[in-house]
Amino acid sequence: MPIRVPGKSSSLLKALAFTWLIAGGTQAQETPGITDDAVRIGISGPLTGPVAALGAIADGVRTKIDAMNAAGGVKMGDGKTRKIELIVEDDGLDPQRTLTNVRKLVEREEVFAVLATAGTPNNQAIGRYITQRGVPNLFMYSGVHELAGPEWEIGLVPSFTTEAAVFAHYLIEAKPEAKIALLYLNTETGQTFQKALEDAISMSGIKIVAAQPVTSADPTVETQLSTLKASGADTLVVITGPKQGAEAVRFAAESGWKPTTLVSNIAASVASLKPAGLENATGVITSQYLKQVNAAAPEDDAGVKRYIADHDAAKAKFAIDDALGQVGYTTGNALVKVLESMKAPTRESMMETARNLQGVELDLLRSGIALNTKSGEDVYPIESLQLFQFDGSAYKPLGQLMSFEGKTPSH
Amino acid sequence: MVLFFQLVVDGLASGAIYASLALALVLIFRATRIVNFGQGEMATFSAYCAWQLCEWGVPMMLSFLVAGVLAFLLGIGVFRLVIRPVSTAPVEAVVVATLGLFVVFQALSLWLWGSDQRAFPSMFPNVGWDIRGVRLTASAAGMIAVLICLAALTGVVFRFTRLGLAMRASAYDGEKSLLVGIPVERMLMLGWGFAAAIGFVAALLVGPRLFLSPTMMMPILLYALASATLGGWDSPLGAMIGGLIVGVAESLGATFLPFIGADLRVVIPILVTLVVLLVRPVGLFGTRTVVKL
Repeated sequence: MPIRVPGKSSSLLKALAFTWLIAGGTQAQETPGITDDAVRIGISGPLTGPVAALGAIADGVRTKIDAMNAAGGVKMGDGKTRKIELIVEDDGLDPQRTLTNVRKLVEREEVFAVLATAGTPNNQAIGRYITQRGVPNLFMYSGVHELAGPEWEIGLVPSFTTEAAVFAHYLIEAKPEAKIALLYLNTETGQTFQKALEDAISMSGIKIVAAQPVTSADPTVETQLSTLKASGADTLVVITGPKQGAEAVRFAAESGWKPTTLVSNIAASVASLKPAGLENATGVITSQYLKQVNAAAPEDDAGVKRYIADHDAAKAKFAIDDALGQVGYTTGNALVKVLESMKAPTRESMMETARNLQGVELDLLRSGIALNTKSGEDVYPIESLQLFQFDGSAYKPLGQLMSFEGKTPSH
Repeated sequence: MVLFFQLVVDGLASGAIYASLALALVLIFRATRIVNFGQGEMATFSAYCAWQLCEWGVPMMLSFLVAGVLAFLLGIGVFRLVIRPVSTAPVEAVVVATLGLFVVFQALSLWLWGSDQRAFPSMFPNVGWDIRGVRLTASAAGMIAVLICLAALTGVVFRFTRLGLAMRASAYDGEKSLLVGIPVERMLMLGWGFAAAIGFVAALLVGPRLFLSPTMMMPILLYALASATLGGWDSPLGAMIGGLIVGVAESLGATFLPFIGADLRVVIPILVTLVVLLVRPVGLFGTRTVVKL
């Protein structure tokens, strides 16, 4: 039997449907996660798990954001002052959990953007999702910049290709016949670095004579290092997490091998080398883009002083000289800069701004280094690195600042 | 050939790390018939207590001693508060409870001390010997020596003393042990206390080599479980030897089998264990349980 719908209620239904459509329509236009007085930002990072040390990044972001909120908020490009609400989720550096967290952040918490997502595989895992939803994956903590969501992602820290080029540059000058042993993280990180290093030394007398992979969960890396030592190499290049990096530095000294050791800046902070024994770390070379923070003698640097004050005020959980916490602080700093110059409170505008940064200086970036990007041409915000050598108590600059602005080798 | 022997030595060194946790796992299994997944994290927590005492200026040996006693009390406390209430529940519930211990103690260490890796004082001098190109460090050799002594000692206690017998009986059959006059609950409590103390010693040995961090023991849990299974769950010495075999197999396998990359390393101990179990289901040194009808 056909159901007869009386004319009157049918028009009522239509009216209802129409109102619903309109309401839905306006909702879709309004960007989630941003109101007139607040903007909500989400972070997924490893607060627990074998690489919990990276949790300092999220806490570093919080340190900066707390300071901004305490000062009243960020005056954004549209003239409104907004406080930043930060939501941090733990993923234990497991890419699957990163994806789950980001879905939760976007769909339930309705964040405006995700920030400082740590780990190359983790950023890869969320690439498709953020592209589908059109959510900015801002200033990810990965040295591989071209991942799965090119329209909605942007990195911050120098590309591993930049670091590989800087290392190669140094070796070509200082040790033109070097035989390199490479200890690398067996993810996109290490593979990108290895390939970039191979490219950078291809025209020189330097050779990679042995390479050994590690994972961030390996308890010890001694067998890998014994194999590398047996290859007869006289130079050790380490691109791993802080734990394996420190183990490698200790092994290189204690085993009597004593090669020229170059450690990626992801593993080379004084705080993370300390457990390896500072006498073992003497002579280690690394690259850095952040200022040296010495809490006892901040010298006369307004940026460093501000960082130390904010670190105290926020009761940050990481040590003041922890480079990862400083990266987090710098990421928060960069976020604030982007918010300040966004013309409209939309996600598109955020990406547009992040892709067209010009000479943006941050509190903890070394003098001479600024964020520069250009839509469609330059996706690397930081492209200059300074080499440092550890003298047993602190890092001392080695040579001049090396700039690859606009020339970062792609991968 | 030098590389081969060097890798064997390296394998023994990392095997000793796996064995140390395996020993604590076996001990608690022997004393209470429970596999405590939280063992490593409890040990890490105690090691942090020792480290904190050192930081406060207490002499190293004294702080180790104090923290050792604390670890013993911690084991007893955990048993009374967490394990006893679920002891009559199905084994799955107990497993979940020990997984809970794993999470809670890791979170507690993270919350109290942060995630930075720290230098942990070593009991052994920082020296090494070069024997025809093969390098052996004092810390690795010392660690293996201490562990063998511990394993032998606990083996002797279980096997030849009244206390050990009473502990084994309580773990095996609580009701019947009670009937013959064994204070079962006290025995189980002691078992947890001793296992926690041994775990703490393991953490002391491992700490200087892996660096102290709240998640220090986590990656070795899988290897320790494989070692204990390989050696036999009721033999402390078996766990020790199981750990060393796993370490050497991993070291040699990962180097000389080219298709094994970084991600497949962890498969080696599992594979070795599997093969051994196929031939000898109770593990290398395990005893068969005989059921008489």
